[in-house]
Amino acid sequence: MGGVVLAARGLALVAAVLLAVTLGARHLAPVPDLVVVLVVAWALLRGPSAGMVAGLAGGWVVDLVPPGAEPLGAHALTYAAAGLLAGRFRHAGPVAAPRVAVVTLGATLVVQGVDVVRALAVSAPVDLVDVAVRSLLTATVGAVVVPLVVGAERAVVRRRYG
Amino acid sequence: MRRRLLLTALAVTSLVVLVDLSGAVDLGPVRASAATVLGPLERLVGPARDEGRAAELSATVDAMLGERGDGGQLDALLAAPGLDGTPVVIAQVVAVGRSGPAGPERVTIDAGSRDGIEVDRAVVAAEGLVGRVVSVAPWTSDVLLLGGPDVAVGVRVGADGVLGEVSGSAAAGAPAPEPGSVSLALVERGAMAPGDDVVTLGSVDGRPYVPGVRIGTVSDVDPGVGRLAATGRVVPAVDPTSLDVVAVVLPPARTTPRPAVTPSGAG
Repeated sequence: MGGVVLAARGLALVAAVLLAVTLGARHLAPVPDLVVVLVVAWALLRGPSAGMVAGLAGGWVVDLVPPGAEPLGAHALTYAAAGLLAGRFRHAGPVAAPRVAVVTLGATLVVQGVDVVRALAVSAPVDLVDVAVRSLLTATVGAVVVPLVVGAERAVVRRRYG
Repeated sequence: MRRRLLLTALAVTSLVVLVDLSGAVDLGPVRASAATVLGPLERLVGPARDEGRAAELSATVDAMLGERGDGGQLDALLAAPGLDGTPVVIAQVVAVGRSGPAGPERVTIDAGSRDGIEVDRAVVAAEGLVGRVVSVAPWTSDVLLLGGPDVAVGVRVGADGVLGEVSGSAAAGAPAPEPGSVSLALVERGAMAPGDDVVTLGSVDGRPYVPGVRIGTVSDVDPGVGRLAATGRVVPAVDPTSLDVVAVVLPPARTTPRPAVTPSGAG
């Protein structure tokens, strides 16, 4: 059962990245960061360590699913930091959408912030409006999707342990 | 135990980042392995091509033009300056990578090593240069787009063909380019002005870049006080957010052997 759940989470991360890159190829923009949304969901449910693990796995998927990102592993560390941050806001009981939106926005800004700093360090262009729009879009999607993922995870736990 | 595993995973990941940044070990096979597994999936769920892939990839460019019959875009692509007589492989963009702070930096196309694609080949669209191939798997290839911080291209500027270099990051001492533009730094004394065309200079053996492919238009020029050569910005001819059909430039086959000569000595 545990292995199946882990595999399902891994597949969900791969599906999220595949969806994002193929939406981009269909000229849909901006695309929300669906990996951050999933990482925040698991972090809010299980805490900082689980959020870090989810972020690490999600970042590796971002770096490896074609066309990937450079350098290899950098996004794994960034998403792990985002998952650690989101996990600190874990609390028992129902997950309120406004709280989720704020946490998702914070996690997104961690990921986007690292990219912006890297770009500024090499004097590459930075479009702060685009970064802000993508972050707000991700937070909005998170407010809708995270409670669904958390509900599904809790349902799995209830079925497993009664 | 779990904490120890997590720390190990973080340490290994950090090591991989350092190794990739230093270039000490080629991590291309890792990417290629992932692309071998996931590339076909992206081809499946990505935007569809107009005709059957097998026929397109094995036919000549002219044959492809006739069979596909998709009108203007491919016609314009094949008529692009710098491609006369050069073999190309037509490909469809099936995935656009995660956006950086100024837009997408990498895309995946639905042609790979089985189609003759190699690393460090130029990728062009009808409007001009798209980027270069950086990773190749059997069914897909990853392309680093012009405008990415790691891309630098030798260019000729204006009617006089002044030599310069276009880069996604600013030249030393010059301001960072605006989003949607790239940096241009001349490497010899010469003049450039807004509106000048910028084309590729070309690389040795046409790898990665063939000469004469349009890059864009000079948008502004810095005053250049105290500099030997001018710097400025270029608006790329290709919009990376609207890529569709592209062509990967392959090495032209040598049909006429270069003649060997035997010096007879002074005498």
